[in-house]
Amino acid sequence: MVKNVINHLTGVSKYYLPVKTIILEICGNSIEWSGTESRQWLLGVKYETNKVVFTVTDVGKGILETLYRRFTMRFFETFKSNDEVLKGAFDKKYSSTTQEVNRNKGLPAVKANFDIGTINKLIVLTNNVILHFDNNTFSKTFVKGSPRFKGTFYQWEINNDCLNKLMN
Amino acid sequence: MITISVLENFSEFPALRHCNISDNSGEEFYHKVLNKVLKDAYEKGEKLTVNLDNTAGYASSFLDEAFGNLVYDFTLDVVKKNIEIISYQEPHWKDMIENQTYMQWEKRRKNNQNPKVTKNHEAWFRLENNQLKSKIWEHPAAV
Repeated sequence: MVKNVINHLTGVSKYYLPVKTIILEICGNSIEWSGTESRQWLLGVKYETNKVVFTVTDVGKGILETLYRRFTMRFFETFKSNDEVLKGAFDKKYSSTTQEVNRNKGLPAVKANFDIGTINKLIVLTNNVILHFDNNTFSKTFVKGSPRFKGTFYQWEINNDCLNKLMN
Repeated sequence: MITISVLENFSEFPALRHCNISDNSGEEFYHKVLNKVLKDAYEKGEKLTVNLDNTAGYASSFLDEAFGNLVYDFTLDVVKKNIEIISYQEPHWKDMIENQTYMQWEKRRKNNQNPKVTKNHEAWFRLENNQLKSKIWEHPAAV
């Protein structure tokens, strides 16, 4: 699949390592933590002119329901919005549910690829939060009583600029 | 010097952390390949070079589990002295392993926070009082 995507963008069939990493990280989290029936997740790939759009969806617990936050941290973050908490998870602010010191590298790896430009327009929707990494003004925590997404949805894009970032 | 590569000695498609959630896991790479080759290199007093390049791509958890178990079984000191990681395509993985995984797993080792195995493995090597011993050190948790 990754080779097909790169062939679509460049005419050359080859691997693009950041996309494989992101899919592994997201699907690994989904399989290990989301608690979906039969560990199911769904990958979508849309080929457009000069870009490819990816989505990964699971209908599990959602990231916010599986974060481990110590009691003292929860106390001090009482007034923090859930979108701030979710951003913190991508910045490795919280421990893994297993509380093993070596865990919790997956979400930061996804964000790192956005930060260096090997993917574009990263969006994460989970529980009552949506994060737009490319434009934080669109990120928000849904107001109480509004519908929430039970699970986790990721969307991102790649184009030739992303491929060039990796080569430079 | 002993040299191995993930592509040649294991798989083009390395996957997730544990055997119970994916094929070609870091746990499997450690128990099938990495533990034995470091034991051989250590006994011969040679350096082990592990080349990460030319696979389809990595999850952080695969690398963390494989190289972290090395530290748990052989100590941080031995691993740092005896292993050279090559990752020209994605240098950030070498950086993660050497600057996060190694230290975190040394902490686990000192705290006796045992590695988790998710399937039964053949006996593997661990340094105890500077002596290499081979046995089945961990078993999968009963479900």
